[in-house]
Amino acid sequence: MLKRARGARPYYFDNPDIDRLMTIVLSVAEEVVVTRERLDAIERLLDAKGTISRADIDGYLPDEASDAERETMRQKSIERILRIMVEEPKILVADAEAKAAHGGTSEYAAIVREVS
Amino acid sequence: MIDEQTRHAMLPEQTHDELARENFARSFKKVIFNHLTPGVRDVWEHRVGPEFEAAEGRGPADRHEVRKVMMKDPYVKMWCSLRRVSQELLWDTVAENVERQADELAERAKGMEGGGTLTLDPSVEVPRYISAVDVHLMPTGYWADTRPDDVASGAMFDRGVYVYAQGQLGKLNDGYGNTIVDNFLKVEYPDFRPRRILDVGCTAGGSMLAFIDAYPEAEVHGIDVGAPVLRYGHARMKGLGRVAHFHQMNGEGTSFPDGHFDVVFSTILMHETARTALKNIFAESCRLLAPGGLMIHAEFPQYEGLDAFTQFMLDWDTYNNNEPFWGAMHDTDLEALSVAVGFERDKVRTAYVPALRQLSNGAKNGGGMKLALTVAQKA
Repeated sequence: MLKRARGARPYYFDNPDIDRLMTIVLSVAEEVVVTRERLDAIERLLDAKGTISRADIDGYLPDEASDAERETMRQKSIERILRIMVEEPKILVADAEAKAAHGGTSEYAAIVREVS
Repeated sequence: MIDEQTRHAMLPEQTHDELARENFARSFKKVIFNHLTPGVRDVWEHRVGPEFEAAEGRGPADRHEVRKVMMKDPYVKMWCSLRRVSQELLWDTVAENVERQADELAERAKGMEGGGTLTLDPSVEVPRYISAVDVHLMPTGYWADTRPDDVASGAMFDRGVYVYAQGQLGKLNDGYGNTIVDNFLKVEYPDFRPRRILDVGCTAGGSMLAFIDAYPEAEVHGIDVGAPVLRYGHARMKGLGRVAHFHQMNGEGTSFPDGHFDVVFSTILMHETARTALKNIFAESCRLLAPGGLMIHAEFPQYEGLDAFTQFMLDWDTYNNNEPFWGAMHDTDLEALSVAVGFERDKVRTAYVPALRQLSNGAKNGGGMKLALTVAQKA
């Protein structure tokens, strides 16, 4: 039994169902990214060889340049999945800066006032 | 992210999809580290911190006050959840990979040709601070036997730590050992010729490797409470053509004679122990050293002097990654502890060397840190 680490798991959200859902969503994300990577291996092998076998895919090791491209592809996928989290602090900082610039009003409120 | 870890004889193999799963965990952690963790600092500076100040009329007194309010913030909750799940997925992947070849690895370890010794002692009790929770969420927690001649937790540690540290510990996971040897011993003690060296809590022997290569004339020993990591470590060492001695012992009290070693060291071990155990380990280190010998215990620097928010960030593992002693250890005065167990005050100091790894403090410069070596020389 190698699959479970001893120690109680912390739950972060008011409703623990959200924690469960997070784990499920991210496992699905993992499956998608792994599948994409396998597809990428197939495409690259087809480019190079014209035809391929399952063993070719299982044995595929990218060269340094392909590896770097695949790394970028993976991180971009994850960044897209997590976009709301990547953006929120930026908005927070931009809002704080805009508030300072607009004398205590948020940028959005300033625009509403401006266009109204 | 090409698979660069040295393919020594004991390293578990990965198929395309297993590598892709590991790569996912690595990339996922990178995105959190680079894009979300700095956002937590923004959330503190622009949302939660100002709210705290407005409500209390002052800044936070300590990291616990920061944690109390930060853990209510929706961004921080989600960030915690993502970090936790990234760690769970990493070990799920590594465990599944090792599980499918665990019997074969056990056989391979048993038949490995080479030098050195492996001395197991089933009477060694796994202390509660190790057995109660599996540290940093690694199933089996370094010590649990899951089959005859088991090496599974050693294999999981060797591969998992490499993936976890994004390869920052080097192709052989010997980075911390190299840091001590190259950036400290060879610089400050260039003429030092240790005869016997002991690694306390050696697990798979990554750090021992650095000492074996740096001091070919020395005998290098490693102790750990877990049999599977020792079996794996010894077989790995043989596969790498190195000679070392592995013993199942607890660093709090070993059966080596007084003054047996010229170096007693540990790497990132102290936070996996407990308050009384740490004192016992320091006392035992002192007892085991010959006159002039060096105790070197390496850890990430103590919290003292850091602001409450940075402490909160560094303390994440205490509450979320099965590292219950992480915070308390980082509050401990390790120099005072060294003196309390018998080292002379003027022979005790803390040396700072580049850490190779980065910790998540949310700093925009990436949060590079130093490794703190608690060094004491036996009179």
